[in-house]
Amino acid sequence: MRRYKEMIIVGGIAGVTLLSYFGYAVSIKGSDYEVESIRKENAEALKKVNIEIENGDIKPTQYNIQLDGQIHSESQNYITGLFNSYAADFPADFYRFLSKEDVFTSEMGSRTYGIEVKASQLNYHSYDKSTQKQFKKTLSHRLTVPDREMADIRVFHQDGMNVYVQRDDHGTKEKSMVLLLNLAKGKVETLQSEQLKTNQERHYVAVNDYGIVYRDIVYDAEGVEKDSAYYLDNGKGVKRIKALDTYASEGNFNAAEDDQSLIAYGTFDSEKSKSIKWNTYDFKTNQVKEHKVEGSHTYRFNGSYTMIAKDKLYHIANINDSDFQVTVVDTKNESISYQGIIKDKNARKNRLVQEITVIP
Amino acid sequence: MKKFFMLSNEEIKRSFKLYLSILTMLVIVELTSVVYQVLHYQSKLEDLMKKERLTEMEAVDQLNGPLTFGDATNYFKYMIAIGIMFTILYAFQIWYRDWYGESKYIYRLLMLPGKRITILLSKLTTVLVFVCGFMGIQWITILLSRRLYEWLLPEHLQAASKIIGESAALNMLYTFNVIDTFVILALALFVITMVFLFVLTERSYQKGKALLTIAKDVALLVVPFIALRYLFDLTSMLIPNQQVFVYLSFILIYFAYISWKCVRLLNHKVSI
Repeated sequence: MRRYKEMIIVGGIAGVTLLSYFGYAVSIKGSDYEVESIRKENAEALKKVNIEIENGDIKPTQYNIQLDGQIHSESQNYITGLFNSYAADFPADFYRFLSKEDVFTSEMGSRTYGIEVKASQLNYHSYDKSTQKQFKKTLSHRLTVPDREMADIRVFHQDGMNVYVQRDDHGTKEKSMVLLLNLAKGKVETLQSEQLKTNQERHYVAVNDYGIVYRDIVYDAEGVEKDSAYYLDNGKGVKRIKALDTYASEGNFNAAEDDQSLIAYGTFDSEKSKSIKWNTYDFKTNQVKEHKVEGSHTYRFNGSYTMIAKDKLYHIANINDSDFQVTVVDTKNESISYQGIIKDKNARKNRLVQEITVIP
Repeated sequence: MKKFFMLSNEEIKRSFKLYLSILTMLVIVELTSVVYQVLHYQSKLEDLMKKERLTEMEAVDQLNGPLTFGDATNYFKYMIAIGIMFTILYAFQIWYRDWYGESKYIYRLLMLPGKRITILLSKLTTVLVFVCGFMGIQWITILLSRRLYEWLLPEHLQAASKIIGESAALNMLYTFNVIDTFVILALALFVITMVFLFVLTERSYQKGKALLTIAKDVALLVVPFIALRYLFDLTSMLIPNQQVFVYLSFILIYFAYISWKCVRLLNHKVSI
């Protein structure tokens, strides 16, 4: 033994100190979640809601929580970090298409779109994360091929087999177009094409029986937002939607499921509140209506996550440093269809909601 | 096995004092740097309060808030860099001292009965044990520094932070995931083996041929990597997860190649 004295000392130092580090690492307790339901209407539907929470501090872990109480956690390390990329969410051939240099990608709800414009054909691919269904179509068109550096193409509305696309060309002149991709007929139609002023920016919001809705933002010479407003183009004329003027600077109105209204959610109200609020704009009455439901706990606005799918509003927010309140609101009859608490038995802080997925 | 332990012990014994001195220096410098940062912060705070006639709260605000543990351990990253440099230099020195030392120790080593791979393994083990020691001692120093920080600085001047603070270098080394530690050690093993390959190549060939062989071995790592990257970008034939798999497989194959080459050079080419 004495012969190996130096080896034992150096090995001992390395072993004992590293083991103390491993011991410390193992002793760090992660979150131990449980779901406590306060109100629930349809227990079967709860299985379909998946909430992804990540811890932002040491020992990164991802928690997948279903409201019926099923919880999976996965610890992240350098190796998993290499494999956990954006691509993991998509089928291989869809990702391959998205990563082509001339493909424009956009997202809307659970759908991701990829559009490639070639000389006389347009390749359209979409993938729905919630249904895990992919759709591909090649459409014929007579459009100019966009310059990848100077153009932008995004889907802003989908109505069955009709996909509405905004195409912006930021060349010498600013131009904005609305294209209708008729997936059933395999055709591309130009619905609108307008030359914009240099200090003007346009975001198309929705298409319905009333016309095409867009939001225009005008900037001053310093690039500071000067004016923003929603407009409705019904094909005969354009009118400013004045009822939305007070909300226009936020710009969070989107098409509602019924196509008869616009909906805005996740608007800042106060840092701590019990009410979950959303606003709707009705095209028929030309009025904005404020809606709210009262939750059981006061929640923190900061870090809260809201999303809407099939007339249901999914809201998740911290009620203290470690626990979350989950609320599913039926927006049609303004009632809470589910409310529960995701409770961390170990009361760990710094957890962040990454995503809510609803499987239909 | 006995030969391996004997040789490893011999290697450690020859660097024992140097290694312990560096470890001690690392601990002393790091702890001193924490004391310096805390005292420096407090003196800046007092200066501000006196000169600008501010309350303590206002002075803290002017200094961008309380002193974080990340600020207090700001110098640790330089010490980690020195540790890494020492390891790389030591990987060269562990071979060259056998040739250039007064006793021409390499004669004795190469004449020993049994397989020469044991010589390579004992040197590799020695450097790796030193790396583990660095990582472990650095961890203990962080814990001691934390105590020092909490003891020296009044509680209201401390900022709440995780145990290792906000330093990017420390956060990379100590993720509190055991797998990550093994990934870091695997990376160290790769770099050390590369250094061993350079030394053994240099000792096996004439100057010009040695340089060409080293350049060829480096190109064997770099060129396929760039080619793969270019191919993947150009064709999008593989999705990122598949690409990572290809890259990792390539690194493993390359590691097997350099290890095999080290053994081959030591067995057949190295001259005294």
